[in-house]
Amino acid sequence: MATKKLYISDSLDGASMDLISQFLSMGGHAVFIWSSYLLVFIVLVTFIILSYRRLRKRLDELAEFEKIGSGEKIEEKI
Amino acid sequence: MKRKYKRLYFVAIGLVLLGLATGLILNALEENIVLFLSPSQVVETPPPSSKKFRLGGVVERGSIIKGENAQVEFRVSDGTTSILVIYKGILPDLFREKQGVVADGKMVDRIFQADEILAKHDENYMPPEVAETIKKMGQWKGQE
Amino acid sequence: MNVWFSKFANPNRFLKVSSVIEPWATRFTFALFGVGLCFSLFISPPDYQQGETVRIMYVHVPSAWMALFCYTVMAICSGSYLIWKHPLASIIGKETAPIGACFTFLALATGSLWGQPMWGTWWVWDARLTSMLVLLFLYLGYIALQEAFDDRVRGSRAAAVIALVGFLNVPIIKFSVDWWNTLHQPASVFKMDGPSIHSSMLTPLFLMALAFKAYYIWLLLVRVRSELVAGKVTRWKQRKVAD
Repeated sequence: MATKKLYISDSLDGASMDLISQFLSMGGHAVFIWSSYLLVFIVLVTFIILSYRRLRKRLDELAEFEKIGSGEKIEEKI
Repeated sequence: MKRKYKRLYFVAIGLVLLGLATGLILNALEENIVLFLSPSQVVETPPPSSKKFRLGGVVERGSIIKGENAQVEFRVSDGTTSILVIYKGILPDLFREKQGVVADGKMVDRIFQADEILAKHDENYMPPEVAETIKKMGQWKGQE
Repeated sequence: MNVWFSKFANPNRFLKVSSVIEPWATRFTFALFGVGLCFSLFISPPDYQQGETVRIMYVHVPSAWMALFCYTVMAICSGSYLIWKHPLASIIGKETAPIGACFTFLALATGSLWGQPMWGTWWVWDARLTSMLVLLFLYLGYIALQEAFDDRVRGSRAAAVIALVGFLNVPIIKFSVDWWNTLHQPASVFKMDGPSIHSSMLTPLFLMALAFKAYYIWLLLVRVRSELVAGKVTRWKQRKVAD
């Protein structure tokens, strides 16, 4: 089984590994470039998650009220 | 309906007045908003020798002399006048000949002693091959 | 026009329209970010001066555009709230503010990450950077004013006034690089004699700008829906108290 183990590097020859590391290093300013993309990603994703969470919470709250509300109405009818 | 228009006029007039006020304030503050002085401005009205200010312009072609201990000399020009700048320290990436530069420091004996160098870059963006082609065709307008 | 607008301003009408737009905005956000990132990270070439660092532009510039766009939306909403008292305008303005503040923060932060390797400094008090910081404070001021009053209507009104007054800053930001000498470079895209960015770099820039816009529409619709639901909840609570 151990011989079947595959690493990503196995499927790539030296040249393409070089290309990947070259890509990641971004001509020496990798830290600045990657951290700006990462920062934008984190902020945008967090914002949308928080907004959906808030919406979910409020929808649940509304559903609760509407359930009670309709219950009251039925009681009134009886 | 009438009240609606009253509010509309109120908002519109308020905005116009505010615009005028801001314009006047910015005009008055003009000197403080200016980030740097050009070599010509420095020669015409030299700031007091002890006062720190920023000098901005283009690094003159062929004027960069790199000395010992990371000391560097170059001339900052605005096309008409140029001033010699001496600086010791790390230069930013974009610092090169015929490229915009802003130096922070003061004048000592008609030489600008800088303690900070910032590189300014222009509004042109293009791949290196395109820049080469334009230069070859002799239609280069921007900085080198 | 006014009739159409009034119809659209009806919350239920809005919810109906938004339920159609929202899934499309979501799809466009993912698709545009997918294609845009491919272009900005892989396909587009390095710059002849800045090398690979130019790639920061593809997140920095769209963030800055969105910061100005969101403020403009906020100012228009504030104006129509003050003049015509549209409640929906108030909600859209209120929900745009934190999004705009985030984009302003991102523009400042990515600009800083770009400035350090290229200019040699994280920050400089030039007209462009300073006016952008003022924009962030205007957003924060708007958000704070909205919450500062016990009476919601008074809060909204005060915030709307601040939004309108602060709108003056928007043209100042745009033209700051022309009016004063700044470290920040002048405009590259929206200028009189056409863009000075090569087309191979304009493509990723516009794709990312569209992606940011789609994201804004998606996020805004979710947040406005959330506010409308909150309004309904409040009405239920009031009814309960009245009982």
